[in-house]
Amino acid sequence: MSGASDPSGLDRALVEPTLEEYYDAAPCGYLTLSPDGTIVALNDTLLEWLDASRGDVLGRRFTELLTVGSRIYFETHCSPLLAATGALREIALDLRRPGGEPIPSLVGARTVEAEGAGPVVRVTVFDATLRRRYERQLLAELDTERAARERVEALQRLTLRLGSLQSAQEVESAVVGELIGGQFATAAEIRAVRAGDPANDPAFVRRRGGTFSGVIPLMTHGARRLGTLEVQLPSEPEPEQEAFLLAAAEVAERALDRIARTETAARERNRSDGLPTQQWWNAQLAKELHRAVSQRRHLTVVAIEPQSLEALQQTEGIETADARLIEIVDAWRGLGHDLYAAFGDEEYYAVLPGLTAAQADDLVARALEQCPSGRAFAAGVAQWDRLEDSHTLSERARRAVSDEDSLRRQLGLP
Amino acid sequence: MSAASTNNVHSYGDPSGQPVLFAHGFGCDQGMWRAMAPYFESDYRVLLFDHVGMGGSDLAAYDPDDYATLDGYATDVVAICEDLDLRDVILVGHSVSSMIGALAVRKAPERFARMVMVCPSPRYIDDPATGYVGGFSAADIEDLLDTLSANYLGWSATMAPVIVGNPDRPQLGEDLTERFCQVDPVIAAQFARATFLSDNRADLPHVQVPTLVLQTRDDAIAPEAVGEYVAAHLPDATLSTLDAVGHCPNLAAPEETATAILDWL
Repeated sequence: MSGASDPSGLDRALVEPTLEEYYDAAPCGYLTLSPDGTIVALNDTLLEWLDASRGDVLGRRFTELLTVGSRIYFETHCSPLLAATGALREIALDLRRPGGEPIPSLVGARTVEAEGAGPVVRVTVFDATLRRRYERQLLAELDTERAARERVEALQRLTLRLGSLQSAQEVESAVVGELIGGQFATAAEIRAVRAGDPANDPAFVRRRGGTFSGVIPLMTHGARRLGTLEVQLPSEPEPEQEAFLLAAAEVAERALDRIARTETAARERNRSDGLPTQQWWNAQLAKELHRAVSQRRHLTVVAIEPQSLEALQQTEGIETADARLIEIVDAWRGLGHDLYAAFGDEEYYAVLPGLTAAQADDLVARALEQCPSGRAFAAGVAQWDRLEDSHTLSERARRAVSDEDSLRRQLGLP
Repeated sequence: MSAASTNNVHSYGDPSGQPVLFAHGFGCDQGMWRAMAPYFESDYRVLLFDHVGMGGSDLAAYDPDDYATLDGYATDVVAICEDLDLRDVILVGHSVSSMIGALAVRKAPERFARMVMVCPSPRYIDDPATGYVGGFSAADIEDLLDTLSANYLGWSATMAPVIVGNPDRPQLGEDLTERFCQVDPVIAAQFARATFLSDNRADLPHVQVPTLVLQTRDDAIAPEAVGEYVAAHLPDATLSTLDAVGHCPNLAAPEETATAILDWL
């Protein structure tokens, strides 16, 4: 035990402190508590950390040295554990000191028999300021990662779900469900705006005054949007929240586009024969009328009725009748005009932009000449009077077919 | 799964005796009663359980929405009574389970004969509008949540493997002390919110059974004035103050606490 034998060459008797010095100047805090938690002794290091005098602290309860949150945690989790097992390990608690920042600490404790005094609790307190700062940072990063993962998962769920939906209403309720379920918004923050707002910009986030709105399109009807879903938050959104709202708007927009395309396609073509429908014809014709106005051009509609097509189907068979139809279609295509629509079995229409009724009559004559089987169809011509709507115009052309037929019959023409 | 197994119910004592159902508070599990419950075993049927999310309960049964408020826990207490067909129950609730118990008695008054509230508080956060002093501020509760998350490491290092490795949950036994007071921090944080943000003052007048309110000196969580408030607002209450200090007389002074209850019964 002599200093001379120590390899460091130091005299241990001079270097080694007394036990009291060990205790008071230790690089950690020491406390002794009675079993009910009253402080009966503590070292100088802890007093220094607490910025208190021994007289201030002795006789108080250990939990009084803690912040309120740490005190509740100690009372509810640590005291019972200490009573049950006689020890505590690596408990994170914050010490409070008057007028200063709390000291994040790591606390250990052990119940021991003090000679002649019964059981006491020995407590060590380590300053864990830097460690806790690092742990908080790690926890914050974990939180960020978790939030990002949850957002991606929510988005995947939403995308999968929307992919199979058939109506805008279903899209709306799925989006609302995911917004609330994923805690991206509360029910109170979501507002469906049914009318107005043509929402030229399909997926966007905007700030109005102090409130934030994420706008999600909904309720499209064909190409027309009938409303939007607004999410109004009282404050700036969390980054993940904003990212989800933007992405959800895009996903919803895509789903609605798909549904709209399906609906439009269903309306354009007759399900049984695949020919364009009357509804679609009316929409197309309305566009042509607009174009005629803006280009200051005439427009004429021709209604075409293959003659005796039904009789031909019955006597010669459907193939012959079909061949006749193809002749007629080819005749019109040869003139550079597509047939636009078929209503029922025996009515076909063509729109002739830029032509007057007289020019249309010439065209009809040329089409008839191109049909090898001669007099293959009857045609009714109606020039747009620039006031009537597309339906009235089509109707007038259709009536002209019967007028022509009856006139021919009256005149005894073939 | 039955409520009895979901809540890890343990029963002993006189099987034909009047049932005493002990409900632990925020923090640990039914182990909180182990020093005190034996005082009841000769004359009563003793029943202990863990709230879902704590101790040996079925963690898979924990749904954050169901347990966002104390109501979910009260529903479980009633379910245990129905599952085991308990009648004439003496319900002993510690800390927040005093209010969980009050809610359970309101839900199924026909099941309960008496109630004991150990260190109860009907609202922890001060309410300046009514002059009510619960002892805490909203910032204090944030501080608690912060402390809970700072103690995440102890859980993740020691507890997670135990649970992953034993999905069937070992019974309360040798591992009691190892697991005691080790709670999944996410569940603990949620339970902390349900507990410390609760306000059950309006439920007190509806506890239509004789109730013993036990409080301690120097309770950092439920101060004496709060115990007095509880007793004053219950229809039929007896207030008794123990010599024990701290928030857990069931652990710190089991004999004194048990005697106070038995004397009242």
